[in-house]
Amino acid sequence: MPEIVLEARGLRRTFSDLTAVDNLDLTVERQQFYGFLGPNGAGKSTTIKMLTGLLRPTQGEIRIFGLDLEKNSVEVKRRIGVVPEGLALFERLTGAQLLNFVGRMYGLDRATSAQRAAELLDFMGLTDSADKLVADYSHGMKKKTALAAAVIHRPEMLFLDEPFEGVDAIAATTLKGLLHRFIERGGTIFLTSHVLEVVERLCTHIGIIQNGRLVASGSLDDLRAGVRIAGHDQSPLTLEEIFLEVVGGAKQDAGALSWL
Amino acid sequence: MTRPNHLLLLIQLRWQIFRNSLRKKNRQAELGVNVVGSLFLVIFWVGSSIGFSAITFSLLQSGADWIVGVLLWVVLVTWQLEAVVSSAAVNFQEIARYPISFRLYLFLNFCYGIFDPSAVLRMLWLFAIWLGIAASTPGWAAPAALLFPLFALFNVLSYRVLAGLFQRFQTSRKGRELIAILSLVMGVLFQLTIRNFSRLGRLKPSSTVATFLAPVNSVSPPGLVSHAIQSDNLQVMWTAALLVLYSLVAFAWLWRQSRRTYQGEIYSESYAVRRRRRAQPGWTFVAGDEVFDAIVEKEFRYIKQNLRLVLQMLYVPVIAMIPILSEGFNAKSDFGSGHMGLLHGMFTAFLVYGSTSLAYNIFGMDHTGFSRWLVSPIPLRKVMIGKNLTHGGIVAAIYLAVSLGLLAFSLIPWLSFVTTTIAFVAFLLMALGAGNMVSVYWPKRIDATVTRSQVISKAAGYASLLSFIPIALYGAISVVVSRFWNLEWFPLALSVATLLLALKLYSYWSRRAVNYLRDHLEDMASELCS
Repeated sequence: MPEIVLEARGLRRTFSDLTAVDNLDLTVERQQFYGFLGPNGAGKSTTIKMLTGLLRPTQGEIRIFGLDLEKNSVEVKRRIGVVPEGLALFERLTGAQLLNFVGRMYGLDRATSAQRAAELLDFMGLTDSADKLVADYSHGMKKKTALAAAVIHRPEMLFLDEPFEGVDAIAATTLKGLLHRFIERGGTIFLTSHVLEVVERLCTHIGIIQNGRLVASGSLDDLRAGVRIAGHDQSPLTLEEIFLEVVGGAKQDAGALSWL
Repeated sequence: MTRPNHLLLLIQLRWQIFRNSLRKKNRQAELGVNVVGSLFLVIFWVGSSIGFSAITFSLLQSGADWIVGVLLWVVLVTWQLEAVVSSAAVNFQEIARYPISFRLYLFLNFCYGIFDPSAVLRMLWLFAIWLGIAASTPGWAAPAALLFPLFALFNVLSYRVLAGLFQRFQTSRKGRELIAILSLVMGVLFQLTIRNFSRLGRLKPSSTVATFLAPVNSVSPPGLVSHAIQSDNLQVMWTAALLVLYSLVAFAWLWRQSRRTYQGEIYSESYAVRRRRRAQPGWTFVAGDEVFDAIVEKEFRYIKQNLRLVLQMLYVPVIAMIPILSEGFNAKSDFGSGHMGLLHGMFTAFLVYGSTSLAYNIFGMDHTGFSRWLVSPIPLRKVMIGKNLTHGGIVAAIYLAVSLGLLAFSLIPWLSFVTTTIAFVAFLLMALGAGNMVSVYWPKRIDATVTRSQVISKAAGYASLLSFIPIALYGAISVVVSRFWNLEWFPLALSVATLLLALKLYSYWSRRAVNYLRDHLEDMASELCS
């Protein structure tokens, strides 16, 4: 039986009157590449923040590697890597200093941390910018640095919030290569993204959240089997078609924006 | 399509931003603090204006005609120096983003020069000087009424030009550091000037200085105005024409400068890459713990890039020590060299107080990096201790450098050194512990590119003032008991007791700060990462 590495039960988060995440149940197994989708404001970022300890749930339980996140946060954080929404970079360190710092924060010794930082910079094509302040990096370079910082301690699971947003094709290829290698070596990835094509190509499993509730979950084939679109031909449904069907599709009001 | 009223829209925008900012509780606290601060400001404004009137009146009555020139110089210098510290209070690049005409952009830039509080204060001073003139020498009132507004106009325009220049200058780190040092020097000079202000009436301009400065003064706006109001109408008209000419030159410069900014000249930060270098192993400290070492190294690197923080910390003790030391070394003074122990104690007190600029906003420089602490596998308390170690280490190094110097020259006795050192550690611990609390209650994102960006929130600033109370109390009890009851051992015993209390308080406050932080992660992140 496959090992469950992430389990969330009855997860709920409210902000005053607003319920961002409501009674969410999630299960992710080892070596799954789990894509978490949803329209803007559906609760994706709130969920990933709760799963990584950046935000306390109002209610519910999160278990990662079988450990209660609330009670064992330090142990869990040691075994996961995170690229959060704002990237969480100390921008006034150089790229090399930052990776070195993060490695040591995760308990690597000085020599190992420096060596891995150098290798990651090389892999990401950032060696020439190793001595530049992160503040001076382009957006794509920052994303690559954030991903390098997330993997430097060799985590078992990665949480990535919109890793491909604002990244050019070349940088995206580098990132995808690293993620594939991570999965092949037994890692698990939980990723949110707006880019459905990327999710369709990379992810083995998909969860769709809408209005704070999980409305669909499973492998792409499971989702295809569960969704029927009237009048659709026999070709397999694309993720975009499934997504639009599940979340209700885009509003098509011919009278709207008539001035445009 | 109707033509939008951009000026009104910008005012509405500012108002909406202000109202939205009040939705956060800590901002409401800031507002409360601002109200109290504004009251003090009004008292200063009114008080200083009355002072200007009184000085003008009394010195003109006693025949010291030169006072008008001196006061106009004070107005001009302080007005223009404001540009150094407030140049980026409003970001005019942001305003240039909106679809407004260049003419309106230039007008807004000029308006900001008029309605800036520092400008309003100087105009108030000018009015106060005029009142003093009108009361003592009514014949000068009419030409002054004509020339003072022109003098103010020139100041407004040159202030905006200087502000633009400094804004450009501070886009580089070196530029910012130079400005920070300049600000410190200016502060010291200002204190020295204030100290000697009471002797102004007795001052006679040194002949060498006067000879050297006379030609400069005669063509300068203050010199021209003060000379003209005492002369005939022709001279007044000539001076008015010259002031208009000066203003036109300043306006042309402002126009050119604004045009370049409006057209998108980039003011972004840039850092030179020194050399290509691969990742180097990090630093090692005595802590012997990789995580502590990493935190301390990161904090040091950040502070190294923001020397302003250290200078800001030193500012208070340096300023405070000027009058103390000058009295201390004065042979006629009651202080005498035997009281150096007391002076050393006062220096220590001000140094601890100054440390709040580092300790009262420990996450302020982290920006989005704040989230890194949260996703890292280390307890938040360890992060705070690591930061406290760095900040406390810097303050302790300064303390030891000064104290060991005094000890080496036998200026303070050993017992006094030991007692003061224990008290220093105790109050520094309290400052760091309280700082942890304040840092999470009133966090503030520090913008290194803005010279005037506060390094701690206003509420934290007032809290730091309160921190002086226990220090003063300790000093008073220590001195009174040891002097009046001849208990020489008492200060040492009190220091040890204070240290024990400080250890408890540090632990308690840090624990509370971590608990509060855990419950307010979202608020902290939105303040620091936005």
